[in-house]
Amino acid sequence: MYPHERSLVKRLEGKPFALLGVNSDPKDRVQQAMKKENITWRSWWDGGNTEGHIAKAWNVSGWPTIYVLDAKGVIRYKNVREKEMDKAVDKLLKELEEAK
Amino acid sequence: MKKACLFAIAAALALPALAQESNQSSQAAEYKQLSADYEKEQREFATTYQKTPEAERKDLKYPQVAGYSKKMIALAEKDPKSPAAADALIWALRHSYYDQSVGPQAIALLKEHHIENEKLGDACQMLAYNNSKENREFLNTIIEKNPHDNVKGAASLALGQMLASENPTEAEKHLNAVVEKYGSKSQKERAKGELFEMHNLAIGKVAPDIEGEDVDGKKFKLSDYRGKVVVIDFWGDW
Repeated sequence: MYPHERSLVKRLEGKPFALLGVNSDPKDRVQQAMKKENITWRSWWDGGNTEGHIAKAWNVSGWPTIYVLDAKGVIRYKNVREKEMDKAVDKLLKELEEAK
Repeated sequence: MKKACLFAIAAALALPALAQESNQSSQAAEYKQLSADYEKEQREFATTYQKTPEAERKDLKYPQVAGYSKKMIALAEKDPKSPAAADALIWALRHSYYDQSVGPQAIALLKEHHIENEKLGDACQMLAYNNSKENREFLNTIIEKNPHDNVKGAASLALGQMLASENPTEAEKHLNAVVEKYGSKSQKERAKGELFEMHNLAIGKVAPDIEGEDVDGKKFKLSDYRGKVVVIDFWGDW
């Protein structure tokens, strides 16, 4: 998953796009992972385990869980991965472009 | 003579019962062995996986559930009414996420011989991931015929999750039954979470805001990103 997300973030540099993580690891582990895997995007740190308040509020019981939101904050796709994620994001960016 | 005769009769009568008992205990032992073998293979795989660099992980051979599931079914078929058969069939359903091929056989045997089994709840969660007619009917039969509240709760929760997007009205009925009628404390909590997800986290809904801190302790909010397309990724480095 990291290589795909790295390339997505890189490809969309400068576009109105953000990848945001919600991380369920202990703090030292996530810091280590971010360094080692060159994770440049921001993550909320959700308390160090899978029972964190954000995961709970979003009823997340499987990892990774993915939500894709449009520029208005509306949930448009769930659990799209790899190419599917690229397609979803590209479609929403195009929509945003055309609305201008 | 009379005594010996009686003894012979008693022995003859006891033999089939004894034979059955020992068949059942060997079936139980076989089940134990099989599930222990699988767990051992899983643990060994996890260790190898941890040691392998990310780029090479895709070449690793995952433990194959299919072989074990088929053996579990064969084991159950030897004496489908026994407690060990119920355990084996439930095992096959619990692992059906990776091998759905044995699902229908396991369901047919459980329906016939073990519909009142108190461990049936363990099988329900996995069934939620495959919205098939067989799975739906099986879960409904469990709710109807199983006498244990936590089993009914597990079946209702699974039906609620399974039907959430396809038939929200039906899904809500099952989830409300968990909350109001027969769920355990943790089942009630999960059902409430599902209901919240259906009402607030469905496609087309405005996402609830997220407020929290990043790993460096800096506060930020999801609503700071309005005007941008956002991917939210719940992740862990495991």
